[in-house]
Amino acid sequence: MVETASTAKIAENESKQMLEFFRWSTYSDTLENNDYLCQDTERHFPDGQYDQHPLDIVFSYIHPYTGKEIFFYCDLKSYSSSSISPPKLREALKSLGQSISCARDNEQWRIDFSNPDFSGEVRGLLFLLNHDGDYSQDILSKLNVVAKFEPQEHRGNIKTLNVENLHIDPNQFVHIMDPTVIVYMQTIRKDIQSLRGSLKFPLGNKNYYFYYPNLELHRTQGDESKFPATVEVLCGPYLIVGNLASEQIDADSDKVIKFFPGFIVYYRLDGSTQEEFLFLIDQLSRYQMFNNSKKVNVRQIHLNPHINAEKNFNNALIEYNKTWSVNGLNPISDGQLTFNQISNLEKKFLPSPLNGARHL
Amino acid sequence: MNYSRFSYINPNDIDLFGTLNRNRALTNDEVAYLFAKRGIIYGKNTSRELLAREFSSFFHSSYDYHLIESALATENKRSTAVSGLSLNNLDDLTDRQVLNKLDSLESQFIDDLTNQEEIDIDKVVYKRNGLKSRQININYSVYDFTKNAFNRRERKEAAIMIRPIEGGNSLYLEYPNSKELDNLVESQILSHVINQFSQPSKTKIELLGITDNLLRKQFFDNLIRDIEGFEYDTVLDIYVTKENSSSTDDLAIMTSVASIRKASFSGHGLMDVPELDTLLGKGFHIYRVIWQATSKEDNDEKFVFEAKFTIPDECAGFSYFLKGRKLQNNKIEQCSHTETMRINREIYFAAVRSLNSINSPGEQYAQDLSI
Repeated sequence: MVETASTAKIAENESKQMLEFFRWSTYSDTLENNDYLCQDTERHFPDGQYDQHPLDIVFSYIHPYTGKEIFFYCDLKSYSSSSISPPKLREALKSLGQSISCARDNEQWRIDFSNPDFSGEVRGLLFLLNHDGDYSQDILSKLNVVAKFEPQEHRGNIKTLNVENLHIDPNQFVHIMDPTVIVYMQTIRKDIQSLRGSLKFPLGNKNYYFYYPNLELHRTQGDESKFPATVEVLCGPYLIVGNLASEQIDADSDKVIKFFPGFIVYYRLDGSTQEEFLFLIDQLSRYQMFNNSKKVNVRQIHLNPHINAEKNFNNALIEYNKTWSVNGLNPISDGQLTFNQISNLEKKFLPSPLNGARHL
Repeated sequence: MNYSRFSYINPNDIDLFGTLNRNRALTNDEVAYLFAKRGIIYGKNTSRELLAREFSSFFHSSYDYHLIESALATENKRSTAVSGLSLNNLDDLTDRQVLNKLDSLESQFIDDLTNQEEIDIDKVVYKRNGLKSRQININYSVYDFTKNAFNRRERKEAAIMIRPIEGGNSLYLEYPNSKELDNLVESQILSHVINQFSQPSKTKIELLGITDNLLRKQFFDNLIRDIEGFEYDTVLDIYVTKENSSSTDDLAIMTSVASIRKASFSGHGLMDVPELDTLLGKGFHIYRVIWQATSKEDNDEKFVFEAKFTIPDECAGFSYFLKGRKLQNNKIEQCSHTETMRINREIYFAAVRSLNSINSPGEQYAQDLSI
């Protein structure tokens, strides 16, 4: 299938719309698909044939814990499970590593996305898109550090990518959002829309927020309702969406629907053990999420959820209450913590692969 | 205490930060793996402090924590001291009949061990070793809440061996020497086994009623010379202690320039040195001995043994073990598990014989308790 110009545009628009839902800032179309002058050609282009770093798109957000503005120098790539290989992945990641090394020193880049007195942090983001709905490839297992610890995932002959040889500068980060993360993000967005349609979640972008607990070393800064779902949260085991108290009219019955403060926890692991849920429940409790009788709904999003995931969750809840029950009172009351599996995953992002170098 | 509250680790961000930042037990590859599982790669030589700060702010799963915990865990496979006791007068049943009685208790052992709240049990397995013995394998955790969360849980394994003594109308129980296991065996295992027989008696090695320091020395002296299959060679280390009391004698000693409560000697032939007798004459008693003996069967190979009372003042809590085979270069090589178990048993029965030999007529120092 041949990419048309519109496929690339679809990729850019879809990724922007999706990340806006997660409270990431986006920039004007005119700032997409530009090249920026390399600031270190001797190191990055020693053969002297080229002196530009390509840029597809930039996103940014202010980190809830550090208050620091994080910019993502983003490379959009499509891939086929048959075509993706460590050398191609390596080229993409190496290029991103070099690009972020130069971006903060490039005045034009600073003017375009921030200001000349830039004080933020630039990170690389490889956005790997899927167009065929095939998720049989575990992209991360192609990294040598993952393959080493998961030999069963990495069967023998497949070559791996040595991340140490990517020449990323010290203290700089490159993130990979693989297709499973993108399915997760798309499904969360659609699920919230669906819950709103069935009057189980309030309408309006100001009525939900991404929850970050205050920890011992990390305290949130600024307006909670503006917190983004950070890249680490989106690629982590779970994400917490909170909703504020609000009211809205049901258009069909004209009744007033009241929404009480509560949480949805989108859970990204397969649910194969009771222990993982026991641990999750204990974490949520430590974050004080069950205080004031708030309801918490854990919603699992996984391409192959474990057959016993729901049982494991329910058993973990029973075990948790049994363990922490005092004088017959359970720490989590009946119906306060519930579990659902989301079966209709949003698996397709692109109608066709991207063109040329944009297809791994 | 409800230990199940701690049966899964749940460290906070300070624990995570401290562990990733300072603890070099976590290799760079392990840290890189934790990040890579979240799709994050970073430049070589990125500071550990930055990585620790980043990672400690994330949401985590139990798998992250287990990876860190297992990376920090150090396996201790060295042989350790054991405790033992025997149950006698078992209704003249055959070994097979005794083992059948034990097998009938399998589910009770597992249930009771799992449900008790003294120790945080992770797993219990009852194992049948043919017609020779039964073994209860326990995985359990002990906690030290003064430590960082990743180090506060120590996962332990213990095998409780129950073995009929051939033709002896008795059972021998052996388990790693620790206070928690001692309590567990007494309360959750022995109590059930005892109920299977009409008038059993229990033998446990203690010198509680023996206050004569020369008799206490005699106990060790007999023991080290009476290990079945071995010829006593020499004592390598000997440890003495003086019971801590508030008697006027002690006060007098305390007011002198210095006082000694414990002492140890290393060398050869230590049981016979005059310095030892001098100390025994001043109220000290032996509580620990390390000695070597020559195998009668094994080409005159030398083996090293240890026996001690873990509560030295009272001469209670007897523990013992075969430390290993002595090599030409004087290093000690650990023996096989089977060999160690066999010889440990011989130490125990030598101790029983020694205790019986120093018993005054009519007294039962060997704590031969009719139940």
